[in-house]
Amino acid sequence: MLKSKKNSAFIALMSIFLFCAKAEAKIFDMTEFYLKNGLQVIVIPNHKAPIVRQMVWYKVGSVDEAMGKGGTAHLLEHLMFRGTKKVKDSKFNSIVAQNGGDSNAFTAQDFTSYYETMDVGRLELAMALEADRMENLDFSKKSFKKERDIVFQERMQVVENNPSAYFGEALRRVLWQQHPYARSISGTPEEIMKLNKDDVMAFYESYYAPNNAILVLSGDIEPQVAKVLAEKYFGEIEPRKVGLKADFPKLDKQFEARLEMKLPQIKSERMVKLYVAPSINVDKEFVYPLMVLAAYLGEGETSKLYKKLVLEEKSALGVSVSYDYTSRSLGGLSVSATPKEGVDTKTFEKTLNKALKQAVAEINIEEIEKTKNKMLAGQVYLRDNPNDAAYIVGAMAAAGMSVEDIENHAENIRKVSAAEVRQAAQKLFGGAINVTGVIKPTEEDN
Amino acid sequence: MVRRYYHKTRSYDWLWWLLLAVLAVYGGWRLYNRWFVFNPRVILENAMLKEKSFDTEVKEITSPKAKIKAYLFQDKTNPIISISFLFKNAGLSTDESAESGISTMVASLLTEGAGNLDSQAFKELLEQKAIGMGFSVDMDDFSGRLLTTRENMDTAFKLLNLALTKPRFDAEDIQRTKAQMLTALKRQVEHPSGILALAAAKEIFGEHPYARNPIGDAKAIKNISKVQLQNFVQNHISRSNLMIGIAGDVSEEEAGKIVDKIFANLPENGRIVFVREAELTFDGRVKNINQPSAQIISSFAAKGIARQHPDFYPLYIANHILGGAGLNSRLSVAARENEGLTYGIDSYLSLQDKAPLIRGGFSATPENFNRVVEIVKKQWAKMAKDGVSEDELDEAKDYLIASYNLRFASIDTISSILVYMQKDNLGLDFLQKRNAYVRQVTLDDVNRVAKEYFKPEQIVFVNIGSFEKQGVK
Repeated sequence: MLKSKKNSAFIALMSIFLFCAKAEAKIFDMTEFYLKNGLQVIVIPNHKAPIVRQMVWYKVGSVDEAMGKGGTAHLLEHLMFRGTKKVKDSKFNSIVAQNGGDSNAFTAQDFTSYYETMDVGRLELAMALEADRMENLDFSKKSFKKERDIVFQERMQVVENNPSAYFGEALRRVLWQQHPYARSISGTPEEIMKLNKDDVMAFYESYYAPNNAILVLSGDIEPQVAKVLAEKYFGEIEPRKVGLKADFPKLDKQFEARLEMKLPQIKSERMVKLYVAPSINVDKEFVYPLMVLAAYLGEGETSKLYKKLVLEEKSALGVSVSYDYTSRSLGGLSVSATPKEGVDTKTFEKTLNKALKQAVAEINIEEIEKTKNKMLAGQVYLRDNPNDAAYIVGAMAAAGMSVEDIENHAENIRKVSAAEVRQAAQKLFGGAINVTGVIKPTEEDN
Repeated sequence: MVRRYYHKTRSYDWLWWLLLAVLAVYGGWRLYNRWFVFNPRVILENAMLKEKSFDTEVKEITSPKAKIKAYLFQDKTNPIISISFLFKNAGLSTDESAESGISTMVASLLTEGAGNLDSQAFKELLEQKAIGMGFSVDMDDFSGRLLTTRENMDTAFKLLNLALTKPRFDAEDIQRTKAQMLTALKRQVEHPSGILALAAAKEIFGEHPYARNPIGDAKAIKNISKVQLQNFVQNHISRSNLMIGIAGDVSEEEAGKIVDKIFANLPENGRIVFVREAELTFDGRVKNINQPSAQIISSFAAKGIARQHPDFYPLYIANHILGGAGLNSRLSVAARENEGLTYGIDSYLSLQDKAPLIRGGFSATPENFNRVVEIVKKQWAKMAKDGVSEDELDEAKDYLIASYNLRFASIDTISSILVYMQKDNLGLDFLQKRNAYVRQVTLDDVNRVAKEYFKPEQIVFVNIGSFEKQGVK
């Protein structure tokens, strides 16, 4: 402990020099290390309150399911709460609850994640529980069936009974075609009910291994302590051979698609344009320019598209752009807009396309610098909530982003030039696979 | 020789076997523990990380100039400041009925320009300086929040003061905001749960203003004028109904000055609006809204308890055991875990000023629906009849106490807790005392209150979905 104090004084001194040399501070000041079994550990100290969020990220998601076995990853995520050899049935939930923990999990296309937020005095319990279910999953046939029913109900609640979620799935099917991103994360209702215990256990055996996982500890904990504890709880888990993962097609055939869906529940029209885009794993050099482009075009109510469509043309009530680059395969950029009442779809689409074109033509150094400043001005807020930090860092790392890249976000954004933004925009709007989606009320409601 | 030899062998053998036996027992014990035993108590006893004391002191400060009081929670780990504030009794239920929605409209227009800064100039400054500013209303009150870095705090305080005292309400911004609200009203009923929320409010609150649409009334919204918006601000944004919470990297002295900078030149008094207590009937009625959909969604309600009521903690604990957050509640275990009927079911205490309630809900496919309703009624009846066990009470208390620090994850949440401490008269030392309040609750308290409040024959259900599919009437 003494040694660490000395070290921190030294580091503090060092950082003053570093601070002078480099304008940008790191976002999180996190520490990364690997256990012998291959488990990647990331520690994000935050001493505001005596709490820690633990997250375990498995680098496997719905894209890695076999054809016809849609929903396996998600059903497994649910069954991770249904018992292990040591912690029977749903004892996991009651132990976490009795110890004041907040716990949940979620499945994405590229990864699956579990978390517990605990008072620091109870953290080790959560670590022991996560370590246990990394190697000892064991649930009964009856639990399996009940959980499959629950997952079916979840699908009904979250997608089938929700018109915009239903539309979102349809739109991704059109955009991604034969790519696994086209499939739904939960699986179709029919697929879900056909899954059996062996499917889920085989998936668990193939992918839930320390050498395919990331442990994130974010909150009131020091890296040295985290290291000792990670060793203690996760260090003895044997590494396993990780199963084959999704083969991502290249998608080199350019096309533009269109999907117009009329649903009786829908009362007001909206339009979204989705583009297949570079990610941290594909055409990486375009990622930072595209982040700046997305902010320039449509983040906040001073963005270029907001000004053009909402304030000048007065044809939209709102517009926003978002860019997802944390994917194992290609990323995606979306432009979403709500046309003003009475503006017809075709006219609005033309106006939107024109505004996009103009916005790209108007890219200049001054505006790009302004955009970059806005993007970075609030960076210090990321150090506020340890739970958010665990999520942000975990998702990026699980998609394959290095800790250095995550920390050096500000510097990487600063480096982007207006010319690079223009080039990225031209590449995207000039030749990327895209789909224009419209969701509107059925005629008689109009 | 022989004797010696004999003796020697025997002694080696004995030691060898003993060693083996010890090793086998030890190894077996290790393996047994590693593979089959999970003992939370032992893990916690051997834990390196122990519970830490955490300073949750809240100070009351008085601003030097205008003598406005505020609560302050200092946190110097990050150079940022969060301010939450609330104007009491300026929420949606206090809107004149012909102006229903004016409070929501003001809430969105206050960030659309003030003083000599038009909407774009105002927002540009907020974004360049990374200042988070927002206003919202619920049925009771009008609230606001500000998040700023220390670096840009002076600009932030100036902009917030301008927004509260000199909002512009430019014609174009009013027009756009109206259009956005009217579209929001349409979208509100796209999802069946949106229709359900509106119908449930009507069914439960009847003629009381709480039955209103939380966005407002379309006709009223269309007719609201700039003068009416200005009057709203004049009448409701005043120092007399103001409560402030400040959290973050700020000293007591600074906090006082900040309060003056933002709030000192607000009018001393506003118009006082009283909304009557809601007189509600809980008679077990059921309202079904028939609409084709994948699931039937249910919203249910019963009489609840105000935050300041002496029985608040006992009822809070009883409800936590019955339907509180997480998968461990009685309702969740019965309907979700044991029978797989629904993705989620919960119940909670709704603490609106004029009509405290116990509310709950779930969503299930039509063939499961009746069974879940049956479970809800059965569990309510069981709660009233048998109450909870000593073990359940201990577990609930353990949860509430051990989870307490989790709420301090973000300074935004902390500053808003400070406001609610004032609104609910919880006292300056509430954060230090809260766990003791939980510990004090006895089994008799919980079971007495459970008997009084969990009456299955009184629950009002409002449901939406495809009822013909399974013949539910």
